Amino acid sequence: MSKNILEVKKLKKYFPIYGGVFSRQIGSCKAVDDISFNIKTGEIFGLVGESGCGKSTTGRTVLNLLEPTEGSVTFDGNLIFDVEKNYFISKKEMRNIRKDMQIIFQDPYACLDPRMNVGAIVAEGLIKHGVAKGKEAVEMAKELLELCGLRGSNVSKYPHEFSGGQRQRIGIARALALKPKLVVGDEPIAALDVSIQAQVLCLMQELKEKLGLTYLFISHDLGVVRYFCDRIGVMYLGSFVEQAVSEVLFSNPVHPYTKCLLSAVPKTNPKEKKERIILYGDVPSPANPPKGCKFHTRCPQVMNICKELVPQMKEVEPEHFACCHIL
Amino acid sequence: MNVVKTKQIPENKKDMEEKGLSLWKVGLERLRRNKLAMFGLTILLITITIAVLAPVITPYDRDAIDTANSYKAPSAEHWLGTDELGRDTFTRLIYGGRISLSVGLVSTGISVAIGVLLGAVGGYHGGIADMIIMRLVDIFMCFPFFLIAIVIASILGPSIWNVMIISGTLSWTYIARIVRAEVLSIKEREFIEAAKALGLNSKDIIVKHIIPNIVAPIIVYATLGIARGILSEASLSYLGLGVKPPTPSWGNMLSAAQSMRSLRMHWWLWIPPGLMVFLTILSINFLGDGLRDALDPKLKQ
Amino acid sequence: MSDTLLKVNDLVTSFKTSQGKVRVVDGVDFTIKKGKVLGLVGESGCGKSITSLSIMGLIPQPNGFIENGEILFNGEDLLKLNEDKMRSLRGNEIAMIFQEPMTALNPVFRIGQQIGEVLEIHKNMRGKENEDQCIELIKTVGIPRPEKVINEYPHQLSGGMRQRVMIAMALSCKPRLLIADEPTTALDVTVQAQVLDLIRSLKDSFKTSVLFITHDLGVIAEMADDVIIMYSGKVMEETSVENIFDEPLHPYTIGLLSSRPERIKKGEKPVCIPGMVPSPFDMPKGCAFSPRCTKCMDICKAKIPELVEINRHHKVRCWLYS
Repeated sequence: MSKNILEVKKLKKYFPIYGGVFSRQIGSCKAVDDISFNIKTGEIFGLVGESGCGKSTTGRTVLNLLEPTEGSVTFDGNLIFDVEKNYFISKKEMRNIRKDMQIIFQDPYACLDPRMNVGAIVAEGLIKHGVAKGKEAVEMAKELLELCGLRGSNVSKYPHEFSGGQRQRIGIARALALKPKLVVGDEPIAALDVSIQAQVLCLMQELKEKLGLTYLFISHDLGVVRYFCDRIGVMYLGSFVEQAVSEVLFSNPVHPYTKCLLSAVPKTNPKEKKERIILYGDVPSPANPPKGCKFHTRCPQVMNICKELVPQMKEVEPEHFACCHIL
Repeated sequence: MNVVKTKQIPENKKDMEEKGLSLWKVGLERLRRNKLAMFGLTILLITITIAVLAPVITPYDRDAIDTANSYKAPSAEHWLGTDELGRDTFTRLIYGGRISLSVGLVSTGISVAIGVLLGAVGGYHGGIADMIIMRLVDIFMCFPFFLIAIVIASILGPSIWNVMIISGTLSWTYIARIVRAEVLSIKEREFIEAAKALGLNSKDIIVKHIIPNIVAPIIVYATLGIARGILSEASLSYLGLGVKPPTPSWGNMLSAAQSMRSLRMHWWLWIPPGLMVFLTILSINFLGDGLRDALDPKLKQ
Repeated sequence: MSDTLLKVNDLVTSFKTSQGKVRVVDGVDFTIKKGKVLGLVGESGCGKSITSLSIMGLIPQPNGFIENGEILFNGEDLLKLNEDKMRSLRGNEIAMIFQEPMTALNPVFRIGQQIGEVLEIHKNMRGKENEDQCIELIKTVGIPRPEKVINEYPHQLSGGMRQRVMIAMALSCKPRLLIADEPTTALDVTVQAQVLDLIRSLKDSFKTSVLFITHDLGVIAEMADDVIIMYSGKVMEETSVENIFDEPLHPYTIGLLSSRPERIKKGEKPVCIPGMVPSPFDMPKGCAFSPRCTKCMDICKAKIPELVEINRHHKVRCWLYS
């Protein structure tokens, strides 16, 4: 049993909503609402859901880029924060731990500073943490670019001289510079062309094997997640509805939302017959989530109890959890 | 091993470091292709050169009075004639250029310094600091420029320093707002988040990432601000509240030529300074517009 | 050929840039039959959007221009029509829906006003008649409470609803041709399923032909009858949708199909198409795909292959087959 590199317990992140003449807080947007999961060392954990479900916010809160509202996160044995016990890691320690946890962003056009050349971008972390400086840092940057499939001689070029796929590789090189243990990928291939997506996934796979990385892979694309991830958690409106090993999730989904999601994925072949479960209505606002089970307003199998009581996470089979009153 | 190598076109087998094309170079290239902007820049450079080299160009002393030769029309000795005290108009014109240009530069410098500092602090930190700074901006923007300028000048007396300070301290609000807006938008961009994830603190982020990305609009504003400064100086000096004679400035030269007699009979006293103000402001505006178009990241080819 | 609605012959669309003239669409031919869906597949830079804008006569001016070609809509060459005549066709007989529902709707006008505008211009409907028709259209596209939605602004609706409004606007005058430029790329997968369903049912009831532009082969499998694959401004393969999936011929098509992540078995490496799309300023000599093609031969680097019919209704542009 490999150790857990990341342990997230009852994480909540609420964004305040201001209104009225004096801009008082009149409500909160419950972006992440009681999330718990663990990631084992060397695993690829997929966080899946549609827009507004809170997966990106989860990724950022886990990395302590956003201040949590409740819950605790333990990384590699170190407690990062525990809101209930009022414990927050010191800035100095956090800066040190940042070397071990990095993030790759979705938008290759916005994640690189347009005024810095690529070598400076990749080497920035190295210089900040005193790992290298000057010429040595540039050399290391070149190596990292080569590792990610780009030419080291491009080290003086600027982001706008590269394509989307190449910029994403630069972002990956930057994330790897500090030799992290955990890499959070926030929809890293969503903004890329289809043929480039495969290239970048290939690269991420290789790097995982070469460098022994663990990934938290955030995506809305179920096709990608099925291939790439070991375990998957499906989110809806800030909470988990189902968590399982990827093969199990795709062959035996239990939660109605997971089933709808899977049925909505386009066919892979025109001759394929697909059973569509049509979801009616819109996703409710996270500022005003429904009482009881958040999915009950759109659930094709809704029962009376769903409107009143929030379902608890139950273990359906070993390593397969779901939150539904049907079980 | 399935290492995917991407090809950068054109194919370059050499392993030397390839030169990068920074956004500044792209912008400058675009600026160079803008004919109006280049025209403006040329005129400006000529004006500045002449103003700087004034002692070399003209043999006359700036304030040398020669009442016997007053109101002389342009001739070979006096290219733009003489004024009411027999002083050479051309000499006073180019020395006046020094005054006007330096007022423009210094007042803009003051407003940029104040505006960028307050705008960046407010924009980056938000909260109370931002609220206070924005209320300051609102208050300052309520002051009608000329009214205040006239009041202060009447109290403190006319002088070149007063013009610079008044102009600078009353116009920082525009740049502060621009800088704040830019900082607010850049703050949310992913590369700032990436910097935080790498462990950089606020100071690092402001200095290394935010400021280089807001320099472009500051340059555009500063360029156009110089024009505003020159115009303010001309207006204040014309009203007698700016640069005090005998120091010449385009504004007070215009003021001195106000009489009906001079307007009708001594064209060389008011047309040259008026023309210089007009040409300089025009050139600066062309250049400023060109800079704005060239440095705007949204304008793609 | 009376069942042909749109026939594009040798379309060449170019742009004037500071680095010279560049051909974004380089000799494209295709046919759309009445009541059928043609899927146009390609990645960024292949020229698919400019192709659709060329048909609509909306190429960005002043740099863009059509160098050559014919676009026959019901026998009439659109390129020879003047702007007034084109305007009477746009929104009326040929309609378009765009990728970004966020930005394609005007944020300062109500939904009713925006749909009503189309009806007013083309069908001369005003007042109550206009309003009633708007409500009908909003109902048809499956938006609940149409009387309320008419008075709402775009920002009050979700992405999926906005896309439905766009579809309502596009279909308001019962066009004969609907051009859909990546209409579901920006939408969530469940919303995408709903919108595709909607387009399919409306197409059936109004007998509209559709030019469906996308890079997503899954969407093609759902929607298209025929498919053309574009790369660097040229058509690389043209056939029925079943053939594309069962018997793809062109190496680029094969590469696209194999590199879809859902095709990979767990534990295997994904098949990647190496390299990048070439810049239109620096096109390789010969076949545009040759630098990335695993089956590249010498002739591929020297001469550009022609689009050749291999089987009935299956054309491909590749030296492997000619």
